[in-house]
Amino acid sequence: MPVIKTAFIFPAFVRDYQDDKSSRIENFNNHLNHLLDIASRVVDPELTYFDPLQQDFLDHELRTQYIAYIYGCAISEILQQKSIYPDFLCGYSMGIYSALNQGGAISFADGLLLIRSAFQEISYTTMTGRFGMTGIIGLTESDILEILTSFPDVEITNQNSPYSFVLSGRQSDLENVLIKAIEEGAFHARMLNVTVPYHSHFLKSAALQFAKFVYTLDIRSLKIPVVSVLSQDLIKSPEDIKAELVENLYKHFNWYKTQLKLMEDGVTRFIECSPGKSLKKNARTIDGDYQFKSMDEILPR
Amino acid sequence: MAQVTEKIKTEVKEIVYDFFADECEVNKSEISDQTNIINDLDGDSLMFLELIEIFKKKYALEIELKTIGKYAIKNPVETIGQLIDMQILIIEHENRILELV
Repeated sequence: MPVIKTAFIFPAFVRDYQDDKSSRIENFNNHLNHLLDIASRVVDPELTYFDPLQQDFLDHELRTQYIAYIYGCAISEILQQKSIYPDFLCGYSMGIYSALNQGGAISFADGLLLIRSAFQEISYTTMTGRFGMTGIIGLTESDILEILTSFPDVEITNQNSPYSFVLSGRQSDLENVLIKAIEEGAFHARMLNVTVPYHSHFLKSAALQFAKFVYTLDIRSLKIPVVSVLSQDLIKSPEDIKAELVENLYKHFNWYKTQLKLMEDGVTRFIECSPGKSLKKNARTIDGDYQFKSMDEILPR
Repeated sequence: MAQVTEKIKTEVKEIVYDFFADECEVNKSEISDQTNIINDLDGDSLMFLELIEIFKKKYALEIELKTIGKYAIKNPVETIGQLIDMQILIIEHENRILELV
């Protein structure tokens, strides 16, 4: 019988809860509420009132990151309680905090504090301008780079699959890039629901301030391997983890290459630890012999 | 320019129906040529991309994605029937599809 290698994947944000069937899983709601209760005491009392049926917090950039983190941890812990263990962990963009918590490197509370600290530093840095991110589907990287020759401050900050890219920059530039992208034949080009140019040079000074907080934390060695979406290497020591946390704010990442690397390392089952299915949907355009599942597709009800 | 036979047309229709039934987790009998891909099936651009890749491989098509994108701007696809018609045109004309615009 072939050995199934599993990677738990943690997204950065929640776009909606319409695909969320987690509550059907035994003990999930109790565990989620327990973590929400802790989070409401550590960072934000409003979190205790969170209700996915009300589509809560989707337009609140910080709270939706907290919710993605809390859901990610809750789902991962329920899976492990039911004897489904990860061989690798990986956080998509700001999903790194859930991956590090589940790998044993940071406490649940420190994960929340990291999210808050990063967001505060980013907010100070970007308060003088209007920024954002866009998704472009259907063009090649070279097609997009050609467009960007007229917009030197806009960067490709992530590749999701062979023909799907994310860009960061000033909002006015991005709006013009979108028009050009449609003219050039993109199937889909739209602004994402964020006001922060994550993974771009605009956040380098925020990252340096964030580093001051990161280096005060007690960060432990990982018990489960975590793969870097920046370099596709395993993150090894606590010093590597600190550097990764800081660089994750302003360096480009590559989700497509990361998924390929995990498959090269033998992963045949990806489990998206999230109320949404955005990475599962993205995986449809990545070739390979693997399954991409959500918790409710893995566990019996 | 490839000859598109009735057999290929039937095959294309079958592939499109099977694809959306599978991806959107609906019964194939619930899909018709008039079904709206976004409103009725909650379809998205990644599905469109995936389907085009399936046809590119199956019929060894030489066409750039951006050519299809440019064609689609002027000939927007909303229903399953329109999508099938466009796929047939892509098989027939490949990169020269823009000459039809």
